Amino acid sequence: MQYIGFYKMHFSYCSRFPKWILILWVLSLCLSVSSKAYSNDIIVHSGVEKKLSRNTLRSIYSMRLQSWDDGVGVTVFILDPVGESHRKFCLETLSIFPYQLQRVWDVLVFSGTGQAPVVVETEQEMIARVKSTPGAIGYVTKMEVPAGVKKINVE
Amino acid sequence: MLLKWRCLLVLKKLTLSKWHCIIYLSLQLLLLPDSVYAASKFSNVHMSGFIMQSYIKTENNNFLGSSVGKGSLGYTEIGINGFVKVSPRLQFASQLLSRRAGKTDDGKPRVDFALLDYRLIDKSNYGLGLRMGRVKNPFGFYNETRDVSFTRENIILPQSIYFERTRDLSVSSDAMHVYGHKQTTIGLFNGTFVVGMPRVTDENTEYALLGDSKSGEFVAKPSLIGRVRFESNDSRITGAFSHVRLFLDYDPAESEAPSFNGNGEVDFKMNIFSLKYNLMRWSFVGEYAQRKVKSDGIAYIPSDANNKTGESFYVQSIFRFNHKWNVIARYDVLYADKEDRDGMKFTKLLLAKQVAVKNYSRYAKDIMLGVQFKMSRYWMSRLELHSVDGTAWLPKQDNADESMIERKWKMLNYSMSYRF
Repeated sequence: MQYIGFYKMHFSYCSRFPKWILILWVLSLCLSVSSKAYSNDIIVHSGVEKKLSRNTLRSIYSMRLQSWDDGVGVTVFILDPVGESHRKFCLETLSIFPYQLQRVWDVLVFSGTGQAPVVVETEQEMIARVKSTPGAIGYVTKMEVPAGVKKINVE
Repeated sequence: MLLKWRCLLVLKKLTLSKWHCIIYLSLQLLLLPDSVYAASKFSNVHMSGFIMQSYIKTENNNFLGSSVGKGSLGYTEIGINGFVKVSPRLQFASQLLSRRAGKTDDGKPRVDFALLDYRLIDKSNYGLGLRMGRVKNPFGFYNETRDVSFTRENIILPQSIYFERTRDLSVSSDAMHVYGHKQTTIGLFNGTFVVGMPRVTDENTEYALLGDSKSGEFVAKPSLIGRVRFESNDSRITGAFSHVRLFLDYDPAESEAPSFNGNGEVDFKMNIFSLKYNLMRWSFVGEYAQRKVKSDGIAYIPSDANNKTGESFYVQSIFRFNHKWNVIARYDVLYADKEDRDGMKFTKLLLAKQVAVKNYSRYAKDIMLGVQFKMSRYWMSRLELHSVDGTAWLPKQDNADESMIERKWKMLNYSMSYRF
């Protein structure tokens, strides 16, 4: 409602401008603003490098990158794909809408050109699987770094 | 387990061919209790699959079955696929598909894809790889997974570009793919280039190109497909350009040979421009295509229909209420000849040769409204209504009596899908 009131107030001053500019402006209000305060920590197996760029993370979670620099295969873990943790991870860390990422995985699986990530049910299971799987990467809500896994800094 | 039994009980009420019975029994043995995402105990081996059953009811014209009147359950898709990661650079995947689609597809299982994929270069910012075998044709946004309801936005894809009546020809080829990607500061570029042999063994290609099933047969020749895609770094904008160039020979039967005085070649060319804009709740998609079919020496293709440039486009929007519900609206247009959009020129030319053709067989305009409900990660249902003016993409196989074909027709589709 606050957005509608804001639009009405500005419309009376901006009626000189072409309507398409106003339409674009209203649409832009719908754009989600990515927050710099991330809700999740990225965790990796102890053998994986500690720094990753955002683009590399997107490449990993889009299942494009198959192996790390040392040749170990990448194994990707996610939480419930319709849950809140996963949604925040997609929007805040990867800058991608969850439904887009879901479609990327489905196209890979059903065209035979890749596989989907492994879904785990709880954060405890996430930590246990990342700890025990060489080349693994996952995410958990912000917490102290659990023993046996590394926390990744996103550049 | 309960869901599997429910699925099988519902499907048993349908009229099933023996092929479906074999597939359903095999699925029962092979279905894993976990979802498609859960790793099996052999972590480099994954299996998954899907089942879709649709009910179609049409007013006036049949589509994918005898859909006029009480409606038809003649549209079914069942697939099971396996994926094996041999090493971080080498993987193998295959899918077995059974598809019933009225008289255009009888449900006989076939290998939908079977490919080896080798990654030559695998870096976070760029990569290059090869695929070989029976591989899905990469053009447009939706062609590679057009048979899987979970990767379509609705039940029936825009028919102006993704024709159901020539599915086998469009969907995959026995080919070599070279693919690559490059991350830049503005976004991700990826490209796929294909050299291969299209699949032309079914009679649907004859219906589409020749108007009827004939005694001779089409023979595939090496053909090309290329697609370049761009995705912005914030994932909001996706664009693509696709080029398809198919070459076919027509090998006439002995009885037909006297009618042929040329090479019997077909050269099919298509360019598609695709654009998508994504927001949290909204998506807007549009694709525009031009096609040209040029034939040489094929008696069944009238000269007035030869070497014409067809035109197609659609615009579509989706609104997501949440991860379970969304609604979709689309306007889809096909012209067989962009210089003759109402088909009247073609009709008059053929009438002068005493051949009766309806002008509305040369275009089709489709307004579609739909709703989708995802009951869970594994189940999905859809309902959509089409209002169509024109019959350019109507399968002739389902409408043998041309005198019954009407210009304006409506279609109601309902589907239930399950994935595992």
